[in-house]
Amino acid sequence: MKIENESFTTILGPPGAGKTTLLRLLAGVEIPDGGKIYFDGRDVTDVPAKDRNVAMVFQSFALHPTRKVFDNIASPLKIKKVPKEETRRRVKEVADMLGIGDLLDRYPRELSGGQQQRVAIARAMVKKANLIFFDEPLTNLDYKIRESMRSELKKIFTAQGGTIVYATPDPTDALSMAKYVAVINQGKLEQYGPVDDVYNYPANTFVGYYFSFPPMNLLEGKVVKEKGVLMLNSHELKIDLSDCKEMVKEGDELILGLRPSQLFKVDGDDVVKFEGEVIITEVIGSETIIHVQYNEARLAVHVPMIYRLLPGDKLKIGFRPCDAFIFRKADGSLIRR
Amino acid sequence: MKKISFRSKTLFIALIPMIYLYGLVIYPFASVIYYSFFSYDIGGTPVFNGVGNYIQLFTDTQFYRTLGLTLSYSILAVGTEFLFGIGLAYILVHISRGRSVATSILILPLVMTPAVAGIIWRIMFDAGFGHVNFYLSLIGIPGQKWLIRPTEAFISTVIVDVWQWTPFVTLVTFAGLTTLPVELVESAYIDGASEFRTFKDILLPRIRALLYIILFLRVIDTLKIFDTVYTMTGGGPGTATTYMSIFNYLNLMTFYHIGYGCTIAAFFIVLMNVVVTILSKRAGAALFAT
Amino acid sequence: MVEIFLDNVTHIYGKEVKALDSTTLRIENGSLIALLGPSGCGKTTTMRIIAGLLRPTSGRVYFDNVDVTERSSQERNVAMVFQFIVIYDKTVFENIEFPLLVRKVPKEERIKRVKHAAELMGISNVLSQQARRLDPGTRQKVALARAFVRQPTVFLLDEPLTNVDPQTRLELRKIIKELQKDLHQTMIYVTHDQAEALTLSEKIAVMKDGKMIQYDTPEALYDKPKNTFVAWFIGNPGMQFFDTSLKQSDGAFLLDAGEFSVDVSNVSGQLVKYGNELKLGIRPENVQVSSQKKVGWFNAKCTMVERVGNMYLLTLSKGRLEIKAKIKETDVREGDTTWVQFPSEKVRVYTKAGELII
Repeated sequence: MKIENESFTTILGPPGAGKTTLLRLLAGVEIPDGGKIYFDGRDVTDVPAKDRNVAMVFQSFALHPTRKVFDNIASPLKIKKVPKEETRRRVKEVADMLGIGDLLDRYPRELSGGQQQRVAIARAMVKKANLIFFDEPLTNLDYKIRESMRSELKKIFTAQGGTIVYATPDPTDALSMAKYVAVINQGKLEQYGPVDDVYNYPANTFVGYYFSFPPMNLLEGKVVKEKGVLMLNSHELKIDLSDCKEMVKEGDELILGLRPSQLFKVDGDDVVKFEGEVIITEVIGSETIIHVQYNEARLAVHVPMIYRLLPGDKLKIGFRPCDAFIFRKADGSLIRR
Repeated sequence: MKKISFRSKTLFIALIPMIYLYGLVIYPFASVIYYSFFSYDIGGTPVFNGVGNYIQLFTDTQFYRTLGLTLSYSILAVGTEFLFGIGLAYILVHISRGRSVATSILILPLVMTPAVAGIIWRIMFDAGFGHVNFYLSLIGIPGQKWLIRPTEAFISTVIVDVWQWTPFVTLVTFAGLTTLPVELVESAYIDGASEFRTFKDILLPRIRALLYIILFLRVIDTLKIFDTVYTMTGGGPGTATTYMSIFNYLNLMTFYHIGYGCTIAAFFIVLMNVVVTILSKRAGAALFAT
Repeated sequence: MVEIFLDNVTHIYGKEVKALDSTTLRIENGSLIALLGPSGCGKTTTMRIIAGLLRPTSGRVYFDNVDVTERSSQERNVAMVFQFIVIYDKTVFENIEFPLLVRKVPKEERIKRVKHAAELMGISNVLSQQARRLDPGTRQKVALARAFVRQPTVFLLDEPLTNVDPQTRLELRKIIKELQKDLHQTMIYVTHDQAEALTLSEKIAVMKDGKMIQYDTPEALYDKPKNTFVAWFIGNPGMQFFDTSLKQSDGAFLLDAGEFSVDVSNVSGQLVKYGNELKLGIRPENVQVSSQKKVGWFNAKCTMVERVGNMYLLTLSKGRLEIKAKIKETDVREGDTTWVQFPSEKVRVYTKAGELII
């Protein structure tokens, strides 16, 4: 994998996928058992963390509880023996940028979770390192604070520059903040590329499912021949496969991927329509996710407003075949989008 | 030296005390095993005896008596310590004030040197002038011949062990209990369980692994017991309190049967190894299950 | 199945920490309500007082008009499920059985009730297994079954789904909803996640700093939030606000934010008595945006396009002000000039202090 200079890259994956391990390897806290790591062409595989000029922000903040906020932020500079005046100036600069300029005299335990996390970020930024790593920094924060921190982080980094690698299990983080995303599963890199590319052309079912909010609906289906035309039949939903007929044959088992956001109030002549029975309605703030049952399949439908339905109600759903993703069941790879 | 890193260098330094300790243990250990095959009394010369010493050991009635006494001692002492120990832990958990005072008092027997404890209790158990008989007489119980008759002597050694080590069981159990999440107790309370029931059915099972470890430590300790008993009774009266370590010591240092002494020691080492292996497997299994 | 009434309850920890300040709350029989608010708002304290784990410093608690303030949790027959999944070192069956065992319920009835509870939660197949070895989702189901088996007066749930995997979370939400519906079980749900509150509950009590700010249905909280905090807290993201002054110009009344104004002539009568400085609020999802110039709309430059889930959050700058708009599809790019309007029925006006006017 090659991470571009001056970019915001997200490492996305479920818990235990290897995100933290990857960050630790990049930071120099661990040595890989095989392979090499290069920074700007320089082999840093054996270079210890302190010599790599990197900074890291942890999920648990990792602040020194008995030192004041000012000293916490200043600690990397103190280690590098930066003169007092310059330290003071840089700490103030970074603290102001993060909106905690007036908290410098307090102790971490007196601050809220969001404020503590900002202190951790300030400490990482004060070093003016070229490379900053974030290990799920928002996971321990309240829901509302997480929301506002996302926009703020994005703003700060567009202003600040530098290369940022951000690990998270939450696809919305990647979608809102990053330029590039690396999807990891069980220690393997599933796909890496610009966010839009990976989002629109997921390499396999895992990427499609995971890099999607809510997770992509995956339905099983089989290739059948109707009136001489190859079609995908999934739970009686039929899609013409003529444009990829050299890749499939009759009897193949495929997986149909439908994004929850492309199922509600879809217009068009070619819309495949069906009706589902509501299982439960989830209101998530200003939007709704409705879980429905259709034949043996369960689907999640994303509605961009508050829309309450009761369990047992019927919901009309439809999708356009060009929006559907088709994967091979055997190995999960993408056939067509 | 491709993969030497900061971490590897620290590991090397940490190994040094290990090597030192190992050397200090292996050599004496090897000597003991070596001499156990020799007939050797002090002043004389070692004569190779094959398994002669071992045959002597396994036909020595005193050896079997010692083994029996040691096992009885261990079972009785540890059993009592657990009963009282956990009971005291229950009390500690349920008092809010005076906990630190109680803890400081409980610690006292633990910090006393075992040998000194033996001497003090010898005075206390004296049949004529000892404190124990004095206080018993105050409540109408006639004085016992504590260190004079065999059964009473055995009981008195058990009493001393219980006195000294019950606090250990209490304090470690208590420490373990404090690590349990408060929601566990709250949930039991809401479910309607009494304090006693909560303690017995909810809290104790949660620290099962810790209790196994305490059991393990206490059993090992009691099987090896030496200091307190030797200073209090010398192994007597007769051989009424001659436990394994004392038996070993008497043979080696009092009668100077070096060879035979080493044989006893070698057997003892094997016995302890077996006990440790069995018990630690059970403790490990309990720990793993948690 | 009980109505709960908190009368002017205040609770102070130690000497100074006022966790709850004169809170009065009535929870209808058989309803599922949520206590929602940021960390430290007093929701957990409220729940613990209802549970009987805490005696309030002042105020009374009533179950069906009976004063239970001095009664223990056992006597109140409440059931509680914690965020930290509480499982005893026993089999699943024994776990669920425990509260009945303590109450000396006869064996046959115990077995019947445990089996019924297990079936409801979908854990009948693991009854004989050691509960501690199961995964978090299943363990929380055991905890819920154990709470349910007692037929309690009220179910208290303290962020129970936080440590549970997403799949089980959905299942449990469904089960909780069904339990409440089918059995008219009074339930109180504590959370800082509005999605849980909005999805599950009939009414939500939004709390902040120990005070209950608004106790209403999710729709009312969304449409007519009583103050700026509630308006901001509900919604993803919440409502945005602009400081404005009430001005008169050519016979029309305007709320002037400096860079743009909104006509409020039709409600000017109601606004005038609150002074000149008012706050204008509108939800980002209600802001209308167009790339074409429209009459009556004002222009702004798009400085940031953020993807938020399946929608886009646009940051539009005009002068010193930033307006956020949330839309489903857009061809607006960063740097473009766009046209913006606030539909008048979606605009909310608040006093300077943050209280709702209209």
